[in-house]
Amino acid sequence: MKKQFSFFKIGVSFLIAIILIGTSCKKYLYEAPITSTYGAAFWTSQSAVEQASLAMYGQLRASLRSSGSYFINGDLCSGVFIPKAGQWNYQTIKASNNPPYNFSYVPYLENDLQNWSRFYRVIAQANLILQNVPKMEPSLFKNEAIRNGYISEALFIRAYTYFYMIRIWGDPVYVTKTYDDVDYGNIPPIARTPEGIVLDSCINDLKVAAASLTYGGGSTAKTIRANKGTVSALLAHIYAWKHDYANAHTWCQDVINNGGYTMEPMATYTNIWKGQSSNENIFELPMQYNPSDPNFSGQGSWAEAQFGFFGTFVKGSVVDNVNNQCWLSPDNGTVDWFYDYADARYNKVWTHVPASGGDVAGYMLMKYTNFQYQKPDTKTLPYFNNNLVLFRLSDIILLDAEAMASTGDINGARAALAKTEDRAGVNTYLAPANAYDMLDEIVMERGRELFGEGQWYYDLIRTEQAQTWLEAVGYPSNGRVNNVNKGYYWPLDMGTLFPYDKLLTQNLWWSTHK
Amino acid sequence: MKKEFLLKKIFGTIVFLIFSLIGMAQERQVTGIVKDEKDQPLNAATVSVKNGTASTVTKADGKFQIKVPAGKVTLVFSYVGYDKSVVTIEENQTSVIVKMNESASKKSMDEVVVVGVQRQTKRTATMAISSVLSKDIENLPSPSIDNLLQGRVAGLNVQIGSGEPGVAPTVVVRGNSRVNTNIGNNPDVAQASALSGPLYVIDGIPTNPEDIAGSIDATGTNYLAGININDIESVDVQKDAAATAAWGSRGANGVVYIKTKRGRSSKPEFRVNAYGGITQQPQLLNTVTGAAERKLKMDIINQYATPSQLSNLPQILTDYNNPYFNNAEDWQGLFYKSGSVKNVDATMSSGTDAVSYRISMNYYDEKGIIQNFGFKRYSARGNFDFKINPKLNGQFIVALSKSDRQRGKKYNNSDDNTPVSGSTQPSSLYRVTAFDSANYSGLSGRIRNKNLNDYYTASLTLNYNMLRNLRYTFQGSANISSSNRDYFLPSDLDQVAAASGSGQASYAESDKGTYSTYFLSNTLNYNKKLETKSGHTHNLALTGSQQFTRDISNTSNTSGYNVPSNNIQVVSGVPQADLYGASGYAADAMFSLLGQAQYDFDGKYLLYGSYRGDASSRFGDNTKWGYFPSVGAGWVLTDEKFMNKLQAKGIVNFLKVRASYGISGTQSGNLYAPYNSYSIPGTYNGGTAIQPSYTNGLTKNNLTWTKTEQKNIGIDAQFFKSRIGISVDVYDKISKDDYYNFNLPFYTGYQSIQFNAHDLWVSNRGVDLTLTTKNLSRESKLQWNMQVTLSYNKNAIAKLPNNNRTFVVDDYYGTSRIYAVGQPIYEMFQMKYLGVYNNQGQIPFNPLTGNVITYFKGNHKVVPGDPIWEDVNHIGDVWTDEDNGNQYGDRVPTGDPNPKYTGGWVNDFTYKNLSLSVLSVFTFKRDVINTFYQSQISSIVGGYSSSIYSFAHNRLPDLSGLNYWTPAKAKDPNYTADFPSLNPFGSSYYQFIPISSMFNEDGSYFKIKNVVLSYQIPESLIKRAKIGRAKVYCIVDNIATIKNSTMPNPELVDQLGQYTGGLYATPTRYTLGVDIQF
Repeated sequence: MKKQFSFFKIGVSFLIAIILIGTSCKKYLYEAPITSTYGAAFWTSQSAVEQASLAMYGQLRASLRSSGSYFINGDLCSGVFIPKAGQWNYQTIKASNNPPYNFSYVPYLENDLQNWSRFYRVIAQANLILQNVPKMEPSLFKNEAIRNGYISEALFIRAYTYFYMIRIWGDPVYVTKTYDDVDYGNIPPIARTPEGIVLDSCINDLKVAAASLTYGGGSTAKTIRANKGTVSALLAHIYAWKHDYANAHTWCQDVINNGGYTMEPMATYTNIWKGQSSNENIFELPMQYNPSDPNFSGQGSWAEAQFGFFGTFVKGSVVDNVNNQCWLSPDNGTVDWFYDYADARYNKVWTHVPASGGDVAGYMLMKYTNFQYQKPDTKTLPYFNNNLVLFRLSDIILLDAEAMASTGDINGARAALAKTEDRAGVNTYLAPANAYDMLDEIVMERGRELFGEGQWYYDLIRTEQAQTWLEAVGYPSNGRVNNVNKGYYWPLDMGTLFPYDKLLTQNLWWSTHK
Repeated sequence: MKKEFLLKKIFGTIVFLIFSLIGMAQERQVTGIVKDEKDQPLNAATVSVKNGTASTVTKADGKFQIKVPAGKVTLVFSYVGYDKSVVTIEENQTSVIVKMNESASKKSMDEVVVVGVQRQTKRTATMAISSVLSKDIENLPSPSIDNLLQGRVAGLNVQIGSGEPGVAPTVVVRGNSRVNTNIGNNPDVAQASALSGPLYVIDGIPTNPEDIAGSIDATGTNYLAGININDIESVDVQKDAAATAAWGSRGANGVVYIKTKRGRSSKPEFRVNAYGGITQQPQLLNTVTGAAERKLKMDIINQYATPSQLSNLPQILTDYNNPYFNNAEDWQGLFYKSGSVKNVDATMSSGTDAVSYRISMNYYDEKGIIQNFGFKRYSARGNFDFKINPKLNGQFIVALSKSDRQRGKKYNNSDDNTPVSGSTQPSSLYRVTAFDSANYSGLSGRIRNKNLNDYYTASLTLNYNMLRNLRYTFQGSANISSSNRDYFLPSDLDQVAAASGSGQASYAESDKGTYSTYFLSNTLNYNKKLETKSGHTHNLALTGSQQFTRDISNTSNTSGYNVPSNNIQVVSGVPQADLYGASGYAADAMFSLLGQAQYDFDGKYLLYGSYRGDASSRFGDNTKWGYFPSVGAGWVLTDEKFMNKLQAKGIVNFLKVRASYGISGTQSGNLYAPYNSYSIPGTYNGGTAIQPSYTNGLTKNNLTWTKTEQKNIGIDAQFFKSRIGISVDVYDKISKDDYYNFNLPFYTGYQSIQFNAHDLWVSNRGVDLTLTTKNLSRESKLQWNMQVTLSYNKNAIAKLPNNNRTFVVDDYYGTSRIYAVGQPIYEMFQMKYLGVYNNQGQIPFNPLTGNVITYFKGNHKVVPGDPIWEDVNHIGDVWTDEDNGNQYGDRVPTGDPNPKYTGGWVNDFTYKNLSLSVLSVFTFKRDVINTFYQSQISSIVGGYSSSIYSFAHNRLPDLSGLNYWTPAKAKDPNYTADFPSLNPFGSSYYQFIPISSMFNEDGSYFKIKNVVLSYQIPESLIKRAKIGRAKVYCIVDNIATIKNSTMPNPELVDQLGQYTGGLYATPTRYTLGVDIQF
């Protein structure tokens, strides 16, 4: 009897022990990390949305800067510059290459020039915000306008990114949803969507965004995030790309009349790239040195200030001889061709340098020259304190000129051109008498104003079918750049991308020209 | 009814009283001595009365005393590693001499092994377990136990890829089941997880060194190096599913059960054991130096050069009299040296009925064969056993150890051991001044590189016999391992660079990590023996257990560049912008329930089953639990009547067949795998950004255990009076659902996700064989025992994700590996090298163009002296891919780095007091790549680029005996070259990079690993000094290697079979030791 009792007692205490351990361990079995936040815990405050939005902007900045692709795509492809002597793998992106501008052979640059994956990170981040922010409790935000502001910024960045990709690769794979674990294992392949349809979606998104944003009013504090002026500028660009010049004109006018921006005087012209220093700027990406930036010394893709990105344009004493080679506009090239030597910009943003370091003689771009050392005493860790300007008033005024010239308003176009040319002290806008000549003048003036700002190549594509500027800068006239073959777009790295999307197709020209 | 009951009770009471009276009145004393086959007294053998409670252990001189009941009694003698001996003592006998025989199979059939939470005897176990005993490994000069298991356990493949003290070898049980696709990364990190390692259970506490290394590793030191080898009593390697399923969760890759020694001598005993010795400077590679080098180089140049090339040679070759260029420096000599090894153990132990203990202290110190390498360890361990009352007993273990590893300038098991790497050593012609020499050899000396590992463990086990058949066991333990690294690199490390102002910034780093494991278990054990009327017995053992494990890791890292002065060697005064600091915390938990059942009928028909469920915090909400069943059956044929005859004649002493089937698992290496952790990428205009991780961006609520399904059939047999023992196991193991990095479609925005690959199956099939023999009769003065272990394993990928899509990944050294169904993991994938085109007539034509075939997509027209690469796709051009989109070009599978046969051969000889033990280990059928030779050839005649200057400036590899193609030799139409042209002026079409099988070699080796000679000093000589026993021994470690390859030691390859030549060689060690017991 006694034995049984003690057995019972032990049995009970054993059970209690099991239950105690069992219940207390249940808590441990569901323990979440404390060293990082995660999906289920993150979207619970306004400051989290702010952090996610900053990540979206930062991703965009990193994607554009990746291996200097922003300038390769926007400037190098237009033949204004030639690559440094030492950049052997860039030499195919030249008019003098055979075939000229061979986009299919860029060794070691495939990942930056033929692979768009990095832009889908930006889009995924925007989609994540667009999915989560509307679901959050209203009380988590100071007011509803702030919540809508975040949504609008995400809509803007998504539209900007798709537009940017379209200008490089044409039809994108269009994604507006977030992938999560429910999708994992059964993610269906997606075919490319015609660029026109995607751009129409972007326009709709931007109109939604415009409704809940306000103008920056020319404040330099507001140029690094999306506001109503930024959205209008993007709408103007997208409509122009679609050759819907009536709408392009409307949105250019909106920027010019309501945005609150003013032209930077020629005396302080270089303030435009100095970083939040000019009332002319609509949208710029900050790349200023920040002493608490953890990525600076490693110069990774997230480093706020970098050397290499802008450093590609300058050498010699401008950068304390850190570079002995750079991209130049060679003698008797675009600079000599485009600029009147009286053009104030010719003296302000170009410097002639003799042949050196293996480079030929030519003009060096002086827009980004705010060179610094983090440690001046030991001359280590160089960087540039310049911002990358994505949209500015002159750009929109000239776009408006293009819109007016294209819709027959030659005088309106001339008046718009006058604003930038007068500032530079030239008046070639007086000569053109017809729309064709006026458009040529506008393309040239856009170049004079925007060379080295990652824009001009797209101007050439946009106006190609009427003005054939691409052939003028060396693209072959074998049908490559007609509006069927669209050989001005870059090929996709199918070897890398296709295995994960069986519906992906190569751009027409590049599927037959390797 | 009631009456009957009462009667029974009274009767029972009377019988009980009578027996107790007899017991009290009629006890007597028996004394005796226990000896082994060689007439040496056996210390600490257990003597017990059969069916009784009394037991004792023998003293150092083999003597014992035991109280036994009156009348004829049976005494049972047992000793680890010896056959149990049963002796009947007659009614009036008072003393006895017992001779015990060493068991033929290393562990006797009655030896107990622990499987899961159940104790089983080897005789009735149905599982595949191999054991190594302390006497096999004691005193061998090695910092960690895993090194010593090589060649001793069938089914266990140990490859010692580096001789660096304190670095872990690779240990794989029954074939690799891990498919790692990150092999192209930094080899230090990537390769550490290339192979599937086993779970270690140390005195019942499961420990996963990979988890610890993955969480806190700051030093790269082998976790097991914290355990003193001379504290280990036995190591059981549990291989089949019946054994590993009971460890469930983490047993899929085998379980290594380590048991430490306990006190058992009734009289307090003190033992000192010390050895010391030298490690020999490794044999340097053959290098031609001085004038001979210049002559050889000029000979090569003269073979190929045109007159204009001859007139424009680098100065180093032509300027004979320049004192800077007429030297004969073998650069290897700057870095390699002789080392030493020292070890001291002191042990105190004692055992009584109530308390027994064993306390040990150890000091191990090894100095490396490269400047600034070494390993030191201080450790202490105490094992205490308490018998509180007949029902309650307990065990308490506490162990501490501190180890300090010097590792030159590098981090981990990389080949970056010397300031000038093996394959890029400069020409011997350069002058090495005293300053250069001091600079090079002092390079690592002025680096502060402290790598300390501490290890503390404490565990308590309590057994309470609740009822006669029911035992409750509680086990609780804490296991704390910490890893600390302090590092400082002065700014003037390279004094030449510092003097010219181009020195690097000084750098200090401090990393601390603590990994704590807490383990709790409650177990109920029920044993029942049922005797039937017909004289048969049913034995049943049921075990139920509940376990809880929690791991917590804490880390902190600080580092900084530009420490203000080279006298400050810690992170202090570092400018804010150069300062980095972070701390980490991770924890996980696992809750397990386990049931085990063991049944046998007359010890003849054996059945076993277990079922385990584990819930881990490392898995998704929907799939935390994993269930791991196993079954086993065995049949002892020698207990059958029809075997009686054979048994009586001593032909077949024991024969058992067994079979098992079961499922075991592994859990994710990531403690927070199901959470889609966000990361902080940086700032945007000063504001901190947070984004999802692109490689772990999706939550994984369905992430779960990987599963390994294993079938095993085995035979254990002993023949000819147990002089021959054989154990054979055949297994078929399929691992499924391993964690795999899936690339996600680009449009998701995420790069990849690690998830269970339900379509990733790895098959390992093979045979484990252990043969033990006593080659001479038991009566012979000379004894010769032998053990041969042989493992055969065939590794293959059985299924791949995405409809078995084949893919290719390049490893760090540029060799492609193919992942395809039917191919072994990490199979090399290269163009096939078939020799040399000796003359123009041998070069085939392109069928399409009619011209000679080309290499490198038409860029190189094949000429005599070029290697023959097989044109697999018959398109007249041979290359690794084609422009037409054929991404695999002419590549074919060319080599398997997984060894097919591994094993060992042990010979033990004893003659009187002298014993000699020789261990040889071998690996056959393994392909390795001589990347070292490849990069040397590359650097002299062009790999990625070629130039006469690199030819002139670099050390010439050993070309003696190499019949390479030259134009002069090829004038003979019958000439056949063994190696392509070494023309330093020739064009490079990447012919000497490892894209073809030109540098693949046979990685087989047979190695005499160690020889131990020991002499037991006769008792008569030492008795006066009050010494119980004394032994002197000498050991030679890593003696000789027989191989079929050009590299000095084909074992010195990495996990993927790459020989880079820079790895730390396994040195030959000579030690001399003495073991004294008081």
